[in-house]
Amino acid sequence: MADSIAIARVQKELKDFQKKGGDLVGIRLDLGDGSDMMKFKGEIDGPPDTVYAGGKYKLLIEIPPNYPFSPPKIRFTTPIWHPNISSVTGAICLDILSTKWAAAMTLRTVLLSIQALLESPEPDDPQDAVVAAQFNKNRACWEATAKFWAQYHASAPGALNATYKDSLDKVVAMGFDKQKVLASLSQHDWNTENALQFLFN
Amino acid sequence: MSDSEDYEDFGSGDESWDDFEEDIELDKADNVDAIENFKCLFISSQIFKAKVEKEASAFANSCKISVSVAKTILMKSKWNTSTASKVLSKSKYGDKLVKTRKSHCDVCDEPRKDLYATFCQHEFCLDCWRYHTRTRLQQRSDVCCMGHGCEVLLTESAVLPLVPGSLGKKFEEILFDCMVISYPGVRFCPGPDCSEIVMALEESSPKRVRCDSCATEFCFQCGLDFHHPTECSTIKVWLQKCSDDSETADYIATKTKDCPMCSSCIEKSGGCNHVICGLCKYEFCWVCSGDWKEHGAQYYECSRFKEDPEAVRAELENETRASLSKYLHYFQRWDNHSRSLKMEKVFQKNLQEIAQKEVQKSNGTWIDWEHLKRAGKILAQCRYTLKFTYPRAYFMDASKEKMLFEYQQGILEADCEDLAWKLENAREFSVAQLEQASAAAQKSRMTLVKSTSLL
Repeated sequence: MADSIAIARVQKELKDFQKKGGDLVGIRLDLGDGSDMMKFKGEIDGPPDTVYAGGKYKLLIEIPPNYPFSPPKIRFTTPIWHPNISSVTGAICLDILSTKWAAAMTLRTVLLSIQALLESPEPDDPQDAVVAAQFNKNRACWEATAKFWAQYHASAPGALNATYKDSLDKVVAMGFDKQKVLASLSQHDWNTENALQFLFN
Repeated sequence: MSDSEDYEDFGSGDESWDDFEEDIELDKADNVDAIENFKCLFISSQIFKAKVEKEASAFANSCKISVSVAKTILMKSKWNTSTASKVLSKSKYGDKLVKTRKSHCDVCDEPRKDLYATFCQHEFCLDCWRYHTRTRLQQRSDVCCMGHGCEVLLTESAVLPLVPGSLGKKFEEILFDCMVISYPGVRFCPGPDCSEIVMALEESSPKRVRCDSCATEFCFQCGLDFHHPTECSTIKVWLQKCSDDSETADYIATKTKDCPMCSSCIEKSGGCNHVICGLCKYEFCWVCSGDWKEHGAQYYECSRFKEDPEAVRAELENETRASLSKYLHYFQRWDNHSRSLKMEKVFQKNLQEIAQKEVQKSNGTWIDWEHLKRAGKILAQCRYTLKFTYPRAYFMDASKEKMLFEYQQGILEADCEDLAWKLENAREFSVAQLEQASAAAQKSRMTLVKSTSLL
């Protein structure tokens, strides 16, 4: 019974979403072929005037059977460097996706909240402790790294930071996996030696 | 008596002569009650319910709120009315759902005629309220209003009509459990299927309680088996160590933590380090176990500690290996007493049979064999105390205290084995010899129990 409520609610939300449109505010829902109403994709634009500006971030949205009484499960599938989002799994630490969820909220409000999270990170309630530490201690490095990830993974415009790209290429040439190298370098404030040490271990 | 007095001297060097005489008085009455047994009262759940209802309605009257809200607030403030008044001013509770005039439910997005809301005016249809309440209860969380950003919590009187049948009953049971747990100086008997409630008549301490209804014996403070002279926190660690020194223990050690507030075991299933205890709702940091509220600025202190996990792990491994033989030493002795205790239950039955046979052979009356039963009981008490000396000794640092403790333990071991031997070969010993052995063992036991409870 609750199952049918979930499907009816999602269908109405999607119809409403198409009617209102999301492009203007930079959020989109992609149902694919429409065969699975409980699992689909979403996309949000990196907000302007942030390190994510111009980036396009894909999300995986899963609707639980007791939706809207339980929150939707949402994670980033495009890698992102953000204190409240895991750089490994894309899991999001956002109160409205767990304790503060209210049945009256919709996918639209949730996507807008995630977009707002990109605009204002909350390092005191981190999902990714390493990113949060960098955000607090070495803000310049964090900004450059987040921008690099945006350009590298989310096709944000602009040329890649040359120093970072050199380091990345150098280590990748040793035969390591690209994403692993990028993660390790980012975690170690782009110190090649420390990043290599980490990769060897 | 003369050699036992030596132990007494050693056991309580700081005591004045007057105290010493008092101790002897106690021993004469063969009464360790005050030291080992907890003063308490057994009450049924009905009586407790009535008591709680009475307190709640008194508080409700004084604050002009409903009994249902009063109960919720009193539970959150551990039944302290002055704390409760403070909580009341800060929180919002909805104690009933009232029909409203609107005709569209925002949750199911359907036109409906049965819309209800608490005082916060967030209106939803009855079906949605029911599903919402069921979902929240199944997740064992508070039932809040479904409105966006609304912080109103629904109390018992609003929730119950929404969940008829078994879930409603379950909710009432959980609510009652929470009431007992939140009430200071009150606890459930931990015996299986026992619903007896124990009420303290003295300040909470790790003493023995014997349940009136199911005869389970337990420690009032932690609810585990009575474990003097080992402390509650120590026995918990020890039992965990013993029950599974294999993978489970490792799993519990690496993947779980005890809530720093209520000590319930929490498993981290991923997500951020901001953890909220499911039972007492205490918010803490997974990394350093500190209070999350006072934590924001210091967070990175605890992540720095984690930066070199390899070194920490290696150190731990070395330590583990070195301590393994120490652990086995204490464990074997602990385990040995556990086994002996089990075997002696059988042995006590045998004693009864021996006595019965002798009486049947007209070899004295029941009273002449009563000393065997008494000695058996004392032996069991000594073994029980001895068993629980080993976890304490295991976790004690090498010190004068430990030397004294192990000295007393050694004497009790010797007396206990002497008594066990004489009891097993009761025919070869006179009544006087047996009584003497019993008295010596009991004396040593009390010396040890007393000197440890003074700490």
